[in-house]
Amino acid sequence: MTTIRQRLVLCFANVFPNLPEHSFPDASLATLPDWDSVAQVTLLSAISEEFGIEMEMSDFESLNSYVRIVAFLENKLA
Amino acid sequence: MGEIRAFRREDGPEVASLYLKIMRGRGGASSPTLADYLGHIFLDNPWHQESAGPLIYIEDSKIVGFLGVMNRPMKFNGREVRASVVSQLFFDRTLHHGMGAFALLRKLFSGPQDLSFTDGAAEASALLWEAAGGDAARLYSFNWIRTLRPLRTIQEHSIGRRRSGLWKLINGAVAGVSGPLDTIAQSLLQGAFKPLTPYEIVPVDADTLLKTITEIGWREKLKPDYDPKSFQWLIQQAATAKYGQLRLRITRDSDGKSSGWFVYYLKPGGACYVLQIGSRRSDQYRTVLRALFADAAAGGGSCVKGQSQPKKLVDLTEEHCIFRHPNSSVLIHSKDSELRAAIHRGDAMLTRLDGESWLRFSAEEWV
Repeated sequence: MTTIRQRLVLCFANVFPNLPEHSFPDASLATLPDWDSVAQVTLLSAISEEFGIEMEMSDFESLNSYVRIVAFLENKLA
Repeated sequence: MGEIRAFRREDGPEVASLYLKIMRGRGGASSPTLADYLGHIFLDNPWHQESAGPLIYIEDSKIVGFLGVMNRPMKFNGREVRASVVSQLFFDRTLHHGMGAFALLRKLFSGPQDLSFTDGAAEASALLWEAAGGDAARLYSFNWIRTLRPLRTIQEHSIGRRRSGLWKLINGAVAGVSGPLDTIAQSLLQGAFKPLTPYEIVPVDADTLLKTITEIGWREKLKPDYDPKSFQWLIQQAATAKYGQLRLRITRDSDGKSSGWFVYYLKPGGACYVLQIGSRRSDQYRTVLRALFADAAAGGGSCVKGQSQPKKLVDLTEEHCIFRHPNSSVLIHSKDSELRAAIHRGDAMLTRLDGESWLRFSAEEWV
């Protein structure tokens, strides 16, 4: 069974193709130069489609790290 | 976390350098002309209000982002509304890592205007715009193209854009014969490539054009609200853009009564861009279109391009226009659900003259 993290990794890999997979858990708006407004919107759109969930406006500002996104998805899909 | 504040005239040189770096790949360059233009367009325009004007994003005392905004009066259901037209959203991604562009749009959308819109947004901007709470106005995002000189049009839109050696040779060969062959095509197939019109086409100045527009008006719920002074300014500015010769024309029927108008850039041998077209009655729209095509053909234009008007899609199709949706969208944001609904059902007169297509940014080298 594919876990949330495995599916999330696919989204991250598409949006940040140059980021090694082992670095994903540390990735955040603060640590990743490529993570800007456009990347954020693209990433959250990909996640929304991959997991079939709707994002709220506030999510676009608060979901700014891999760790937070995992927590958000685990809560949302529980 | 950066700071957002209103753009001021003294920010012009720094924003100009930022524009050249981001939009033209000319890092370290400056352009006093562009700096002046930024101030002139965004601060000296007749509709400027600081409460809904251009914004900059500052980080570590440096301007790293810019959002150009120009207010335009409109009418919706007979009441006055204010639209903020957005032009130029750019960020220095080498200096700013974060959500600045998103924050700029959110700041804009929280302003006092009734409507925000842009008519030339690239895909990345469209993504941001929608995430920040706006919508894409899909019906208005289609462009149409009407061919007048078929070979020249193909050359300009296909062959001429290819860079490999063989295509360069083909391009050179086509360039040699396209002129005569297009002339033959226009002679043999007059209606197709050199449309005929029963209307008289009359060159006019801005005042006469505005009188005609005011007298004829529009039937859409949302429409521009022009006044003589600001319309004069608008036309003067549009005429300085190097997209071609700005032509203001009204059409008259056989009784001498004005039947419509059109405003466009004539570019002999190239694509002509329409800023606005209107007709007195719906059934006259096609004949006004034909008058536009006849004028452009007589002036040597290879094709005419315009923005779709949802209520005119059948007329445009019947007049042999081909529709395209390039990487450029019309985007809107409004807190007023009725206003949004009017746009989404095509009941709005959003023309290129009311958007950003007449601005000089993309037409100049800015050296």
